[in-house]
Amino acid sequence: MRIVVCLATVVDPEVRVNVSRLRREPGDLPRLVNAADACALEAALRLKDSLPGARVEAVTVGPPTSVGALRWALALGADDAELLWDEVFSGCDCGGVARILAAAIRRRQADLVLCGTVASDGSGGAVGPMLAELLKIPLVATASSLVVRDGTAHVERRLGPGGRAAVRCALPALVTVEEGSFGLRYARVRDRLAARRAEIPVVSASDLGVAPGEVGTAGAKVVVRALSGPKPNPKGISLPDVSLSPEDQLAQLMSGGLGLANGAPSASSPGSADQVEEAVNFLIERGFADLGEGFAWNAGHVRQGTQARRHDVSH
Amino acid sequence: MVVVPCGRGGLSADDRSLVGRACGLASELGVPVLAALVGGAEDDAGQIKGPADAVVIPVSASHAADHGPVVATLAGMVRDAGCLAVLAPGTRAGNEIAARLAARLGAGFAAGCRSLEIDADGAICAERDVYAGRATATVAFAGGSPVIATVVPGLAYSGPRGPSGAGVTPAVRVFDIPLGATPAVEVERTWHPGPWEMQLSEAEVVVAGGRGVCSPEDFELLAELAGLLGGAVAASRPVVDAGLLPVSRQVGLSGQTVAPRLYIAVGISGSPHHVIGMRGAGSVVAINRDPHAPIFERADVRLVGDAREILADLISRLRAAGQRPAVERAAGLAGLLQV
Repeated sequence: MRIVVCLATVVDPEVRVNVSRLRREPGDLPRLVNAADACALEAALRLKDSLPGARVEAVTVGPPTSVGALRWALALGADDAELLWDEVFSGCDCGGVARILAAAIRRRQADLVLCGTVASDGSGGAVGPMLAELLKIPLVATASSLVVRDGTAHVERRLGPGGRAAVRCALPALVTVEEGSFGLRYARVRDRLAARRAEIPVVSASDLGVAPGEVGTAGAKVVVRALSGPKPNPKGISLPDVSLSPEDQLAQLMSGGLGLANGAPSASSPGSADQVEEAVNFLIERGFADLGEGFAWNAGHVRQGTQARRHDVSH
Repeated sequence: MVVVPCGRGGLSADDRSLVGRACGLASELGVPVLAALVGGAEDDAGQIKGPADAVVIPVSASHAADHGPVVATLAGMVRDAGCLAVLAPGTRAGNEIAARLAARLGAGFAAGCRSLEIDADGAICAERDVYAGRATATVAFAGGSPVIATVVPGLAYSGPRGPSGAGVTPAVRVFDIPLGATPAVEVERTWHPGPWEMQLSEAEVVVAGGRGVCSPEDFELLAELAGLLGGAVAASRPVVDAGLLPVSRQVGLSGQTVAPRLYIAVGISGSPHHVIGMRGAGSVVAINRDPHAPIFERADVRLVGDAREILADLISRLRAAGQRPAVERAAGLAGLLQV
């Protein structure tokens, strides 16, 4: 059985970087394998351990500096690795990346394709679903565990707010893996040394049969015009009640707008009788309380942070 | 066109805000709006306010897990109607369906947009977070139509909504998807791990107790609230030191850092050691007896009073409104469009 794992390298999410640094070519910022893709590789390697005759092949789209991710994958136990890069690939949007990966996977005739659900660098989890659609294979997303028996993948999925589903799907299929689903293994030193010496082929656009007009800047349907600073979600600001004494105003500021105005709790917010009613309305409005029979499904947001182990690819 | 994946509860406030946003954009472009309610029922269309025609695409229980036929149907609709833009909510289901639609149509796709505008040249531009939230990119769609974008959920839309559509009854029709005999992806069962088994790192709702509720009975209440909302139970350091909960449930400097969508802090004073563990939370609800507690500075909803009373009141109101524990709700999910 052939398992292909698509890896992406991202700028280390824990490093504080200035926007101006990101605006210039972020090529020499520390890069890691995307945490979710690392879990996808681990899932593939566990399948390889359990199924005789399974092969794990790793592919990455990126400039030659991304080859570290492939060496790391080889060191962990992947059988084969390929770097997909050509000059015309630079400036790809998520659609372009999906088209390149689809061409590479079609050449390999994979039984199972694994990738991470979302890459922290920001296409928002688009490449996995796009790849499934281009390859015309079924998609099982947000998997947290995966087993293959008799040509069927049995996947445990994480649904929106905490639910789980046990799903089965016939192969060939694409499964996207949530970050943090698997404990990742370590590579032995001698495997890392061997991987450092390995020849990793670079596959070009013509090898893949991809037309230059479909990928890279020429084929990009979404173009980044400007990069500006982060815009966090606004939080309310509380202003103190000027009828209070300065000490009380300070106390009110420090407690975020509450506090006793002349000995009585302030009417509009908490301390009053209908504060719980307001809280319930807040929960319903924000979608946390789902009063129908389904889950609060519009509550399944795509996470971009990561606490998973970091894999330095600067080999 | 707006694609809205629905559960059996109909449209949420986010969905309605998304439809409003689509109407605003459409009126600037001078085109009509079609709302596609995927997985809903015909009555849900009545919740749409605004001049949008609605198409309800019911999802059959056996084929709910495979979004392939839904995407194919939507692609056909987009092509037939000649849609300029497709909006979807930036939830997991929304992102997945929208991305697949983009791949199928060869359209430009941007996920998690915070705002959508039309610039001077008539191209649609969007702003979205990139590099794990460290920068905001302004992107332009440069590939012709259609343009597919998903909007970050939870951002209220306050822009123009186009003509009010009062007095015009929007057309509603139901479209049944032709299905193959066996679905490509089948769901065997759905469940919820419950508030005690759920891992903090993956929980979207966390209910945390502190020194103010440091007893097993209080934590039973917390667990009940967490169970209703489908979240996990956590604690601050004093509770863990008292031996009530294991360290795996601790949030804070010497515990875990969590970033759930909702964090409910009960009886927690809000010292920096704890707050550093929950800084990334989306919305914070704080319950404390002391109105000057620092936790209230971080809270979006502030409840002052006795924690047990407030919790009991909250739980009873939620139950009265029809909320059932997540463990029960999860069992019935198999037939719904999977998130």
